[in-house]
Formats: sequence, C-alpha cells, structure tokens
Amino acid sequence: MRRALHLFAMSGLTFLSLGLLTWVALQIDTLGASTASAAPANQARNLTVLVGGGQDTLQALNFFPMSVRVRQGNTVTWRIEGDELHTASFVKGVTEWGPGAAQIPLGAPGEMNPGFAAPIPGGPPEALQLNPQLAFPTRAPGASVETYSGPGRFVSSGAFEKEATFPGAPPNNTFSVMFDTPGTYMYVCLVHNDRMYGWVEVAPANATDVPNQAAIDAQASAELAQMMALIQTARAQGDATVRSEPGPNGTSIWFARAGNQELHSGDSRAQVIDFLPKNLTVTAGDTVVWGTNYFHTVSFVPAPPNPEFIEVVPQPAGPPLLPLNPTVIFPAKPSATYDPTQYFSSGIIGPFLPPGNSWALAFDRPGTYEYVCLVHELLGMKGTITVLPR
Amino acid sequence: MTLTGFSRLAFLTMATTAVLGLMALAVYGPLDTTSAAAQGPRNVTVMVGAGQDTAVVFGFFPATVRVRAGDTVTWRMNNDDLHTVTFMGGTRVEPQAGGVQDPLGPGGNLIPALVVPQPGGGPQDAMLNPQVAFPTRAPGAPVETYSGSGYVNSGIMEKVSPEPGAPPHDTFSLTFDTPGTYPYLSIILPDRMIGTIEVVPAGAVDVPDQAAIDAKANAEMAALLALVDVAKGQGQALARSEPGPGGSTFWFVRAGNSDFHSGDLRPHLMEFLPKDITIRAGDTVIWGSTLFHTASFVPTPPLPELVVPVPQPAGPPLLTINPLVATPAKPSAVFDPTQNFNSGLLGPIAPGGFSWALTFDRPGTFEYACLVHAQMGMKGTITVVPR
Repeated sequence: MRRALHLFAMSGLTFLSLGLLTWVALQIDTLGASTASAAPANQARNLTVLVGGGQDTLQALNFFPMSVRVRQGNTVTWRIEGDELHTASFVKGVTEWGPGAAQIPLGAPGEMNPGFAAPIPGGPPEALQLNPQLAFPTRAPGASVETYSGPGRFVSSGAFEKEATFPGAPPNNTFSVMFDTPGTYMYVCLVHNDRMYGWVEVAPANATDVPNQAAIDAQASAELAQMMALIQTARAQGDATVRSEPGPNGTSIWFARAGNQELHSGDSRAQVIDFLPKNLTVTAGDTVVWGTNYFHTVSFVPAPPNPEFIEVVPQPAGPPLLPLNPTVIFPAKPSATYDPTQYFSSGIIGPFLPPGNSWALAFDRPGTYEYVCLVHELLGMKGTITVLPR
Repeated sequence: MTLTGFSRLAFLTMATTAVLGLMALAVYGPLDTTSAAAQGPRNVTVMVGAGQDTAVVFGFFPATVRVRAGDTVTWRMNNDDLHTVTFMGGTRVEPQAGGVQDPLGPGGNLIPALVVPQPGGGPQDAMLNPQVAFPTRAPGAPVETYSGSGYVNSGIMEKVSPEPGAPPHDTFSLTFDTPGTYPYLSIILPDRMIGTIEVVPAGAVDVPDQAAIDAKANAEMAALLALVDVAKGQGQALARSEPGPGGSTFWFVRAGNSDFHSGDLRPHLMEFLPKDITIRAGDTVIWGSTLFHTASFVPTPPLPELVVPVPQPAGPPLLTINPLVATPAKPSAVFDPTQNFNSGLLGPIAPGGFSWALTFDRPGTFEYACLVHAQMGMKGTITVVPR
C-alpha cells in the first residue's frame, strides 16, 4: 500500500539540521489578559483555539488567537483550520528526544525539539522519514485527554489532518489538553518552529478576568483578518512581479518566486504558497530561475501520478512508517534543456538545505508546460511555462 | 548621527522591517542564579550581537537578564553589525506612519518599519525610518526610565564611529523602576533578535551579579558561534552545478548563509559560498539569498554606500537608501569588467526576489562584493577559464 498522507505542507525548518535548543519563557501579559469579556468563575470549560488559517495557496501560519488565558482546570482544544501541515506541541523543558531532534530556532543554544525529518532505523544514511515524534500524537489511542502541568513533559497533537489518511479512521483534526497548574506555557508548531508559537496562560481556578469563548473567537478572527490582509497584498504584489534580464546569445533570463511568504509584509507567517508569477511566457532559448526562501520544489512531471512527498507504509505493528520520497527531495535534470518526456525537478530548495534556494532550467521547445511544487500540490501550488518560438 | 558609516554595518534586513508590541517573544531558559548582594541601584551590561568579520550572531547576550527595580541596564555593541534596542511598551505604529506587522506577534501588532518611503520622493525612493534610526533620548537628556509602557529606542547602534573623531553610538542605557517582565527587540532583525529584561522588587536577592551575567552571555555566544563555524565548513565545501544550454553550466552560489545545517536563524555567515569559484567561458552563475545581500561587480572603487545621508536645513539628515545598491543593474547580457553589474538587494522583501544570474564569457578573475556587508569582508571571485 502506498498512500499519500494528507499532509499538505512541510517546511521543516529543521529539515536536515542538527542543533540545539529550548524554548523558554514568554511574556504574554498583553494579550490574553486584556481580552475583555469575562467568563463566569468556577465552571469547567473547554476553549477552542484555531491552528492556522486561510485557504488554498493563501495560508496564515499561526495559532488564533496566539495567546489565550484560561483558568486552572480548563481544557483547551486546538482545531485545525489552515491547510498546511501543523502541530500544537509543548516541548519546553524536555531534554530527551529521539533521533532527528533539532535546535529550537529561537531557543537557548542546546534546546532541542523533534525536527521534521528523522533517519529510518536500519536504513541507509540518506533514508529519511517524517519524524514520528512530530507525526503522531503523544496521547495513546483511546487514552483520556492529557493534563499539562508545566515544562518537562512532551505533549503534542501529532500532525493535524483535515481529512483522514486512512479510510474509516477519523481525521486527527483536534487536540485537547487540560491545564491544572497556573502559569504561562509556550507551545509551538513543530513543522514551522521558527515562526509559529502560541501561549496558554493559566490563571487560578477562581480568576474572573478570563475571556469566554465568544471573546476568544473575536480575538482569533481579528488576528487572522490582519494576517490575511498581508497575504492578499503579497499575492497581488507577487503576481505583478515579472522580472527578466538579458541572457547570453539574445536570450532572456526570467526570475520567478517559488512561494512568497512576505513580500512587502515582512511577516514570514503570511504565506502565498504559489509560483509568482503563476503563468510565465518565455521565448525558446530562455532560462527561468526560481528562488525561494521556504521549502518548495519546482517539478515537471511527464506523466501522472506525481510522486508523493510523504508516503505511508503500514508496519506489522504500531504506526505506519512515513518515508520522505527521495524523488521529491533531490534534484533531477536529465538533459541540459527541458524535455517534456522526462522528469525535471529542483528537489526541495530553501533555507537550511544543502542545494540552496535557487534552481534554473532552460527551455527550447515551444509549448505550454505545467509544473508543480510536490510539497504543496494539494494546496494548488502549480504554474505554467509557455515557450514561444524564437 | 552620521551616516557614511552605515553601509559598513551590516544592514541586514530590510526584510523584517518591524517589530511589535511584544507579546510573544521567546526567551531563554532558566535565569542564572548567582546572587548579587542587596545594595543600591546597579548598572549591568548586556552585549548586542556577537562574532567578528563575516561570522556573526544576531542576539542579545544574555537574552534574558533579571535586575532590581532602580537598576540601569546598559547595552553595548559587540560586533560590526547594526542593531537597535527597542521597547515597544504596548505602543503600535499605524501603517500610514510606517508601521508593519511584528513578525513574532499576533496579527495587528505593528512595529516601526526599518525602511520607509522618502517624503516627497518617487515610488522607489526609500530611507531609513527616523523613528528607528535615531534615539528617543534627546541629545544631552538624562538616561530614560522605563516603567513598562511607551516607545523607547536606542536608535541604530554601531561599534565604530562613522566619522573620525566623533564618538561611536555604541551603547544605550535605560533605568527600570517597575517590577515586571519586558521584552525588547532589534528593529533591524525583529524576527530573530529579541531579548527580555525581568525587573524584580528593589529588595530582591535572587538577581545575578555582573560576573554571572557575563558568564551566561559568554556561554550563549559560544554556543551560537559554534554553529557559524559548522555552517562555514559546510558551505565552502559546496560547489554545485547543473548542465545549462549550449554545453554551458549553471553554477549555484549562496549569498550569505544564515542557517545551513544549523537550523537556527541567529548565526549568519556573511560570505559567498563558495567564496571563489572557477567556471568556463559561457557559463552562468546563479546567486541565491534568503537574507539581505547583493552580488555586485564594481569596476572602479569606491564601492557605493547603502545609506547616503542627506543633510536637512534643520534636524537630523535623511538617511536615504542608495539606488545604486538597492536596484539591479545589468548593462549587457554577459559580464563586462568595465561596467557596473549588480543584483540589487536579494532577499525576502526585495522586489527582485531571491535569485540573480550572470553569464561570463571573458576569461579572467573577477572580484565582487555584497554592497551591504563589504566592510565585514563579504567578497568573492569568479575565475573564468577559456572554454
């Protein structure tokens, strides 16, 4: 069985990395506490926080609201809202991790959390899988909701899914945690751990200055709306950016962006997960250069199906193995200029990766050629190159 | 404040232009424990940045410091970069006033942009935001006191004086009078350069003395500098190429390397990787950057400065962004050593995008530089051998 995980995106900051880490503290006072509408005291509550936002190629990588204030004894339920791959994970104070641990990008040097990729036990050194500590919930199937009492314990949603990976099984689309100890607790999306953080502030059980769900929802909506406005602006600006320069022998060199997280917004959580411009027309002999600063591929697949980035391989016991497909990860250029009968791919390009963040391909046959990001295809990250005769 | 020196500084990111109202700053872990004797007000020092030459670390060291109410903290520039120490104090800068989203805060938290349009200029005319570039403390005024609210900013600090004889703006002091926990950031790199001051009551005994603060700072710096060394070794080893048209070759060069194999945004290698490459006539070099750099071939010195101050009849100068640095230039289809070829700024919010390409057909060895970081040593060569 070879079935694609319905995980849409990756980004694994920590894709091939090593390092350090730890999160630490946070200051929140400004947000949750100031949210006004108070909830009646002394009642068990379950408050919902959204994970990600947006739709299709426009994605907001954040928790909404970013900070929530609850009472001791309350439960928080995270619900997947965006279409990227996300987790909600409490990692602070945990020192023992499995293979594939990586530095927390803004943590103290030496602070680690589970990275995106991990070696496959018993496999060759280059064989990688989606890190099981990222992919699967810490809560055992059928177990009761976990209780979080503070740093030192790993509590994680696993990879959220909007649709079930396995027919008949419910999707892992929510994650609940009960908080029994006052304090302020940071959590992170392990997939986007250089930018996607949230906080839960737990007030004493009798506190009255905590928001009710309506106030939490209002705050979430306001924060999401602010970020979506940035994304819409970036989309419009990116589409308008068609840039070329003279190349050798009367040709042109065209510059395209593979993804655009922040053009003119400055916020790397505001993601346009698309090719910009989406459709580009060039002349035979021209070269297209793609650049990115997140994790994407530029891939021309001659015949469907497209290779899956993350495969699902059932195991005799326990959870499936989730190998990362080398055909997606590594570059392929079977000839010096594009040939529609063969597979051409940048491999995964971006920061933190050995290949760097750029790729180039020259075209000499007239026609219109579709290409795709194999990491974000399900979001609609596709483009075309139309080649006119010279 | 003068300016010619600005470009010598690492002006990193126009990218992240902003910062925020602070809420969500990730800070470091357990506070140090060595106690300072309870006593009168103290002045403790925090380092801004680390590293030297092309190996730099973006950070405040230590990232978190605990002091008593009444104490003063002095920040001191510790590398050749440019940074600010900025407390937003719950303030928000409206978009029309140059506010941009804080990259680590909730949607709607706006901080000052680093670069703003020039008043009365054309659509491409930009300048450093005066609200960021200049201190909130008036010349000659006493050290400011921070009580947890209001905007307090060091202005852009640099280790070296931009003008001979003038003192460098390399320190910033602030007195804290109210217990609380206060995040701050550098508006040059608000997505990664953040710190926290924790202020405890005046009588508290569990605060570190300067020796303990220094020890923690040194440990944090050493750990991140080790990552830069790893990145350097790995980056220089990479000379990647692929076939190009007509029997030519595409060569891929990184312009800067913040994170390769470290996974951390704070260490940054301000180099071209590989620094020196040898190609054949007809080949094309493609540069990629994920932070703010240029690849620039300048036939005749001096290299243009990124920031050009324009004196005003009154008040501080306008710190204009030099279009000769920021804007791409390709006067001919293949490289000509007698002319100026420039990628312009490459990076996250640069309209030019992340990549640039240049084809070479004349044999020779050609030097180039990042015009943002040339003074730190960010230079490389392309050697072209006959086909």
